[in-house]
Amino acid sequence: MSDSVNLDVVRRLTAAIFECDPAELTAETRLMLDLPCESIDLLELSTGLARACGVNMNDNAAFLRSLEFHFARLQREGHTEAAEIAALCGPEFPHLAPERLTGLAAAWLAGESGPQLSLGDVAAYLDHARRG
Amino acid sequence: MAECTRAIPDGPALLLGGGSALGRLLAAALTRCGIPVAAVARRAEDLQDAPAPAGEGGGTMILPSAPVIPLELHDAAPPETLPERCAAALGAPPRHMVDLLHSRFEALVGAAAPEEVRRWADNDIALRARCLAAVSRSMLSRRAGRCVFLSSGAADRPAPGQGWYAAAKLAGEALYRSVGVELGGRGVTTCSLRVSWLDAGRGAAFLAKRPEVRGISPLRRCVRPEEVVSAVLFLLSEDACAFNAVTLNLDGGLHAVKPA
Repeated sequence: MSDSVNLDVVRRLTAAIFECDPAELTAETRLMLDLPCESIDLLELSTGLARACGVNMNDNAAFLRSLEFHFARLQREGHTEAAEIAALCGPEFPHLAPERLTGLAAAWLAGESGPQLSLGDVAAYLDHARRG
Repeated sequence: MAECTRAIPDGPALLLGGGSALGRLLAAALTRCGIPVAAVARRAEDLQDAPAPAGEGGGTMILPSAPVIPLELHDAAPPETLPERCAAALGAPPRHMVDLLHSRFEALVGAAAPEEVRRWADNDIALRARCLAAVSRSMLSRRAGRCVFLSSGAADRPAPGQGWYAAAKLAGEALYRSVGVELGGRGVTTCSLRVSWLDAGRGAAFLAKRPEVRGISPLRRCVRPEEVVSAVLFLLSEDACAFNAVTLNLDGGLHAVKPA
């Protein structure tokens, strides 16, 4: 299953939840910042993906729930460079490309507020889960 | 015999604790309503009065059309797989769930050993919570589901020795209420039904020893199992979906009576 197919599934299900046009959604659309997304919406997205794709969803991993916790822990341990933090976090988030993880770490270090979780991140998780 | 007088949405029903006397009556009534039923049982003894086993992998039958799905906390088929096991047995994941699981642990609160308390938490709270989480997730993905929890009048009026039982029922009511609050807007609704002394199962044995309690209720009798089944059929119907995130009493007015 290609990345674009996984993204299409995520866009379709997200559009159904927020009653918008899937064409308005991209890989860069951030669930919590660009959409009126709440925890119940993530739960419905998770159950919809599990049903549509037959995968066992780990919501904590798919929705990057512990990402900022790991960033903060590594910062407390003296790691201050985004690339370094991303490399150390990599095993916790194997579905994210190093450059994406670095970007997330850089945004966090720059103090950008709010969860940066994007539809592309969820599609990447889906791709990873489908490949087992 | 309880009959279907209102429309129950199509789709399978899972009966947690469906091997109980009440579960069997309910399974038979739902089958008459055209609702496919799978009974979920956690102990072999729950099935001891069941008709002859059939099938494999715990496929004992309580009715010709009602497969029994075994339920354990730590085996290879945990509560999280209930929706897919229902789909394998009945062709679709559950549209309805009726939870008749009940605790068998009775002891004065101060008399329980630590290991008994851990086992009670696992069997009487965590197991129910995991079943409800798994099934409500499955229902959410279809934006359609109804869950009814069979609670007890002892939940808020326990006799001495029923503290653990009451606490498990109260925890169940709270979980079902919260699912109704969280998912009600997305097609998944819940309610709890507190039933009093019932002339069935363990209740029948108690009433045989204490026949005088039959007269305490304003009805001057106990609620009949058939009346409970009729009430559950109604609560599963389309007409009853606004009974959401609520706990109802089905006790003939017993809860309103001042003790003599």
